[in-house]
Amino acid sequence: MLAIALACAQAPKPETVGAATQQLTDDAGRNVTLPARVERVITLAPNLTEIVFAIGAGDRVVGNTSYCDYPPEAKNVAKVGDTLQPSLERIVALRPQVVLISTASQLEVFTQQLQHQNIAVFVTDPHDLDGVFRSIEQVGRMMDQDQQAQAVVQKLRERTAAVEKAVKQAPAVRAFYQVSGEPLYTAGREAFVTDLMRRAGAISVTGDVPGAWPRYSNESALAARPDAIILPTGGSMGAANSNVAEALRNSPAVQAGRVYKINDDHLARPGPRAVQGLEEMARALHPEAFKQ
Amino acid sequence: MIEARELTIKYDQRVAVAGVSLKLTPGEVTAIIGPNGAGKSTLLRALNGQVRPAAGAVRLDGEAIEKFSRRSIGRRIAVVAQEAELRFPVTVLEFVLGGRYAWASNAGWGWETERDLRVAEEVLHETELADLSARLMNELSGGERQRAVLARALATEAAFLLLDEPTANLDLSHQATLLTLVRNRCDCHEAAALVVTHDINLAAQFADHILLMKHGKVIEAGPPKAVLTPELLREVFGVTVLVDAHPVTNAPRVTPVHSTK
Amino acid sequence: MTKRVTLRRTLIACGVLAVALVVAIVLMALIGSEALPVRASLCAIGSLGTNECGLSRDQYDILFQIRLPRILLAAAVGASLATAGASYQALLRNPLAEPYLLGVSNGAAVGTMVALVFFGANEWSRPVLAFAGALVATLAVYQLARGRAGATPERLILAGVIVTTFLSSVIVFVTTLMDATRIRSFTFWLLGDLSGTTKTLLPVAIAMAVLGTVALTLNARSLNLLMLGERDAFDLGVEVGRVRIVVFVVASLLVGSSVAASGSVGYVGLVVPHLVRLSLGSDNRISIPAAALAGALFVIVADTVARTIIAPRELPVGAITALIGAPLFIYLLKRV
Repeated sequence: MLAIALACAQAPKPETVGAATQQLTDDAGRNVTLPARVERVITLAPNLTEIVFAIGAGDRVVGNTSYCDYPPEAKNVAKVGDTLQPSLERIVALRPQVVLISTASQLEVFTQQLQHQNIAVFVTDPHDLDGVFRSIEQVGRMMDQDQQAQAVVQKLRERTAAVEKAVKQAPAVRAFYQVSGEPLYTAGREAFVTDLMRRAGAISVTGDVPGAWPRYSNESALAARPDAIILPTGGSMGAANSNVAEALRNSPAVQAGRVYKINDDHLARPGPRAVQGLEEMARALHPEAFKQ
Repeated sequence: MIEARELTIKYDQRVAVAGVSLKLTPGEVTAIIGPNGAGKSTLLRALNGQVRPAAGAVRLDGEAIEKFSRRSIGRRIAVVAQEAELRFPVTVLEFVLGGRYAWASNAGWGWETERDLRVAEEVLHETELADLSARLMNELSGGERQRAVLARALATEAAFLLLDEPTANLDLSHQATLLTLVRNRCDCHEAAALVVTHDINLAAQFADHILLMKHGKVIEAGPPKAVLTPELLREVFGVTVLVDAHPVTNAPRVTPVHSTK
Repeated sequence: MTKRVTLRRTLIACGVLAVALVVAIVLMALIGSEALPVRASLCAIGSLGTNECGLSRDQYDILFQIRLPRILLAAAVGASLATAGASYQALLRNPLAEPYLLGVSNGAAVGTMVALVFFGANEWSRPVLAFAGALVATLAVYQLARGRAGATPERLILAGVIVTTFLSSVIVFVTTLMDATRIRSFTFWLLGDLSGTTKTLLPVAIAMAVLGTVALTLNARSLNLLMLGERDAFDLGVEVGRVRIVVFVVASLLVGSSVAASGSVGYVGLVVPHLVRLSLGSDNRISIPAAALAGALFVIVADTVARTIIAPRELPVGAITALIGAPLFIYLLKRV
């Protein structure tokens, strides 16, 4: 509280109209006017926090959510609430110049309220890995860190290409992504992780189910007979979801011991660490392809 | 025989009935009259064990009433109160058969026996409801419904009938019919009845014995001629009345004298 | 209904419903998000699982490990909720009395939540704490409703609404403390989710449904009198206090075991008893057991819709019972 109060006392006033600005189009198709030099940004999702820190602009993050725990420095930034219900008061009190959000769900009301305070709202919402690279470049342009952003993206692309090359030889593995066991939730067509699975040399058995995180039928999971099961667990999720769903107990995956626990933060956050998640999945699914 | 000795009943700190004694003997109709708040209904409720006295005792056939189970009380004492709540559809026959509950061999489950059906039929006949037995209760008129309530009480074959203002919502013809039925039951089947009523003249017609109550106390008890005097009635009701003899029945007839000035 | 209820009529009505229930169980077992061969499935069901009749290992598992347990749970939950509803309506003399409206369902839900959060590992903690929650809610409602004149039906419903809305807020509050993934699955569960059967809790749910229905039916004659007035019932010989305790405790057990197994499946306790009374009369000796059987049928069918209509995805069964139940209820209200 005291830190915020001090920060407020020292904060520069937001740019007045007429100062140098830039115009950018965000992922919701909105034309957003921002100061040319963004010094104070608030990120309202863990992946967005990771992106801003990755391009070297972490010191300019003045607020993020309680879920933003990576990199470690992000934990020390003032918290404005959680992703679903951030506190408008806190956001305004921190006097940001732009607020980065990834979902358009509360967009209308939210944007209007912030615009009254002369705070810009920018949507960046990657659905797949290419989208993540675009986001990083976009944020780099916004924060005047183009060079660093390009370097980061370049490295990530190289790593991705290496993975895709390695797994190209082997046949794709039929895999089931278990978001939770009881009740059974999985990744559908619009889920970010479905793209990662494809690149890691897997076919998601639920990849054509409409929606992002559908509630799935136990029968269909059993009938799908996946050869591998991905269990996102650990990280910020703790020990939850570390058991295979009852319906899949006798699946080929379990019988062959091909149940892979991977840090949920590397798979569920559309940010730089998603490539790490990609590598971990690929190594687990195709160990032969990565023997040096 | 039901006997109450020195009954005192309290609601929180307020005394509703103070030191009342009475006896109900088979074949007799007793009426309780008095102004509102005299404790008449409370006294009635104590006689079937629903209300516990603070002092004094109620004895049924010589035993303290607390010793009896609800069902054994139900076989001996029946209550006729205001109209029943009829939120669910029920036929007259089903309603009257409810009176046979206390005779069931099992407290919660079981089916009506031949005897139960016969008693119900007799009672429906007695109360002139036989033609309406298949109709729903809420299709009946007020008077017919009250007769059904009486029929249910009669179906219990109880020796003691306690009636709490049974004629309150009935028109003239039904009032007389109902009390005639009660009188017959007492005369023919050796039952005893206690009737709480506002209608003094009805009480005078049908009761052998009247209790005049005020503020929880019995001011006077005895045959109608002894209790229904202008002095006593003025003392209890605060109204000037004229008491003469009914030209046909010779029972006391009470007429209030209203000043129209 | 002008005909008196007798043992014979009761046995016939319940017999018909029981046969319909068995047929429904078999038929619904043939329907699901995965297609199964009809003849082989019927053969396997007929042999009670001893003969695989040519079904593949997976098909057999789907039928006997996933579908049939789920259908049986649906039957148990439907029977429990309908019977509880019918008993509340008789005891409280109010055709609108229902486990949800009276706060009992929410009490059981809070109990289950406490079990999940604090005793997550122990399977038995859920039904036990759900029962405790249901009972506490019932007692709270009853105490709130008691006035000078005793707990009239109106006061009971009012008190029930107060308790249920209060408990709803508690549930919402606890939900906001959960993280995003748990919120989603918990919200789904709150609306009724029959997919979570386990080997230990299914027999419990079935046993509760059977025992509870029997216990309440054994008080049917007393409830018949109570339905027409508490004082009258008392006068006619009913041990009102004892019957009230029995109904409250048994109904709490029924609601508790249902909610612990499957969340809040709404409208069953309201609509099914009404339909049963409309067709068979208000006598509880026939309407309580019939409500149990009809409730089982209703939820089995509703759950089949919930698990097939957007297959392979699922809807919460409570959404389906509400979609069927609400219009049905409006129709019933207009008839009365």
